[in-house]
Amino acid sequence: MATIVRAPQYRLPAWFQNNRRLTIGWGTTLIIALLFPLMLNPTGHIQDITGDVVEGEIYAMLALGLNVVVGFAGLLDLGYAAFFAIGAYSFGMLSSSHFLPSSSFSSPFISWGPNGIHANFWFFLLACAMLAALFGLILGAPTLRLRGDYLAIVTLGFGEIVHKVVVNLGPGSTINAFGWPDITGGTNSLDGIFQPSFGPVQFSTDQVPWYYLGLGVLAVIIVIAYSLQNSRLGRAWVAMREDELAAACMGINLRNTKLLAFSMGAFFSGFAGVVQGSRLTLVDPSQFTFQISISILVMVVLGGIGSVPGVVLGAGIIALLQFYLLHQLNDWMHLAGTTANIGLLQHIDLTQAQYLIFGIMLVIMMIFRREGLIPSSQRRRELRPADESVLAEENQSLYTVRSGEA
Amino acid sequence: MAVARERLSTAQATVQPGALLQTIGLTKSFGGLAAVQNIDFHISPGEIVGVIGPNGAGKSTFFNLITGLYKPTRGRILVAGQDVTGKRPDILLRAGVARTFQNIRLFQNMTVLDNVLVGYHTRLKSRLVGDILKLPPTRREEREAERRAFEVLRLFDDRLVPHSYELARNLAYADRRLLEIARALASSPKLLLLDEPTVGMNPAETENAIRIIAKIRSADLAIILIEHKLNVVMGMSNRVVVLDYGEKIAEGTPREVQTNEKVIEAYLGRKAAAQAAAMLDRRDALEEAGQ
Ligand SMILES: Nc1ncnc2c1ncn2[C@@H]1O[C@H](COP(=O)(O)OP(=O)(O)OP(=O)(O)O)[C@@H](O)[C@H]1O
Ligand SMILES: [Mg+2]
Repeated sequence: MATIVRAPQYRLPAWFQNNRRLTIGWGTTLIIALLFPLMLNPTGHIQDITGDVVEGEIYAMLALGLNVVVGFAGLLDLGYAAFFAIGAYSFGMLSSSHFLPSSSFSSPFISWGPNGIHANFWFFLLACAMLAALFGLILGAPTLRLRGDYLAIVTLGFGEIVHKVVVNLGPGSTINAFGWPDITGGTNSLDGIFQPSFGPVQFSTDQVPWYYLGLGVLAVIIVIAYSLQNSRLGRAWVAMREDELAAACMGINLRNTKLLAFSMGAFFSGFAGVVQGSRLTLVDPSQFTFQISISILVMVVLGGIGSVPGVVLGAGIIALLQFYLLHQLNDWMHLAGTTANIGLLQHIDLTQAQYLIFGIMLVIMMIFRREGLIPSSQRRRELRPADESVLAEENQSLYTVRSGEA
Repeated sequence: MAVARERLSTAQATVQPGALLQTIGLTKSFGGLAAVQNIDFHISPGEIVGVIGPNGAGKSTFFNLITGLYKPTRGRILVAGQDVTGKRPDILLRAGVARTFQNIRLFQNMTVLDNVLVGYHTRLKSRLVGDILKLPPTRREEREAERRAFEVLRLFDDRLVPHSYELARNLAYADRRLLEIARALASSPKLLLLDEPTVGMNPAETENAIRIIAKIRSADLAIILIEHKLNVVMGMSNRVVVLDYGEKIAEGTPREVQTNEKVIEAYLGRKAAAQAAAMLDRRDALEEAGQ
């Protein structure tokens, strides 16, 4: 009976030990992030670099969204860019001249007219994210019976379908047999998208306000990701990932749980789509290709599947590589080529070899650190059992089961 | 006795008012093989019913039918008088039917505590918005769930509580079997289905498991126990049902069943014969594969 009193004291809960580290980690990251624009030389390349960093923030939002689907719920989604597109296009179509309401209306909160709907940015953010979430439900529905490889193939198909639809709903589409009007701008891209202003701060080409906006949105997404992970739904996702059949027998409605995973993943990408569309004032089909889906997946795998800080780091690394390191490397190569008079080095373009480099990185990761750079506590224990005796014991019991049944 | 049962089976095929679970003419065929045939079964609250039978008799298939994993070919399943035939497993759990598996199916990479909390899933009312915003009712509910999970873990003496924050896969084999029972209990079931809860356990572990099952027994919980260790079933059950080739060949108190001729034949005569046949089959298969 003494156990009743002692029970919760056997060991500090794992979440507490992790939390202390997490709080310090996130706190430091936040402080650095807040000060970041001040650390750059304002007369230098600040605009360029800040713009790239905002891209990185958007990557992180997307990676966190895909992480819900792939990491939390274990559903491999190869067409995630489709949701990004849906968020960006729904925002773009509503808030630009592509949307032509029959009347005009003006009020401090919302107005519409020839330039589309202009409204509170937060309202747009939430509305378009919810729209993307709705599409997550719709696209998720046909995949419910699928698992593993088959699910991956179907989501891959979705990614391509959404991309093609966006292209073909524009002008100059070769298959426009019905003569529908220009809805998405097609390959001409959809431009003139609404940009917000908060008091004196006008969001336009200056990237610093966008940086802080992206940071705020990212922070919200991170908090939501953590809340989801430690919730009834988050547990249901993991249980489903571990053993669908047992999860169903414990009362988990597999249909709803899967749909919610797709939907929440899409919800996050809706945020990313709105920020990106508004920042660039245009959306274009080339932003939502299969390569983007794969890049986001690489961020998740690189950082650590299922780990919130991991995928943010993964996104950061990919952004750094894409926007900075590869260009730097290129310059060095060219310089070396010129000095040593080697033709090949003078003309090499590493940015073209981006996906080759991602591929090599993944192979290296799979060999040396399968659980990712910052593994989720679960995966770490899963892939690195404390010692061999665990494995030995597992074999042992397998044996006893078999002999017990004979 | 068996003859009497056969005559009874048509009369029994009416809805029994007091039964927690009742199956009427339950049948499941896999292609030509009738794994479960025409089973009339009932259990009342507080009862422990043992289900025995040789390997392949259809015991696990019977469980899979009443937990909704298989759709019956024929027959009906009633829980507390409600027809639940063909309903999904999660709906059956909500109706109060929880189970364990013959081959352990824990959530291996979740902690022991989280496994039990998943069992508590259906008792939690929080939904998406509450989960995201961590509203006070959600927080309160989560604390309550954790308290309740520890309460369940404590039923297993010192076997599970010390490992609450360890992954389920790292538990010793016997404790994993216990954790499956804990996970099922967390859902506050009315009917608990245990599929060979002591298989693979040594005598001391078996003893301990029996003690724990005896402890969780209560007036509002009915238990169906599939078990090969006859001393375990006979010792715990109020009533024993014997399956052979998918059919119910006998039913009665442990004493009645033990002296039943059909049962003795099924267990000693045919079991030995079947095992020999299975071995021959396997050798044939191996030879075929070799060629
Ligand atoms: N999904 C399935 N598909 C085809 N045949 C099946 C399936 N499930 C069970 N069977 C067959 O049904 C019969 C009954 O199997 P079941 O697992 O119910 O037996 P059991 O009484 O639980 O045996 P054991 O004591 O070995 O666990 C067996 O012949 C088995 O091969
Ligand atoms: Mg069985």
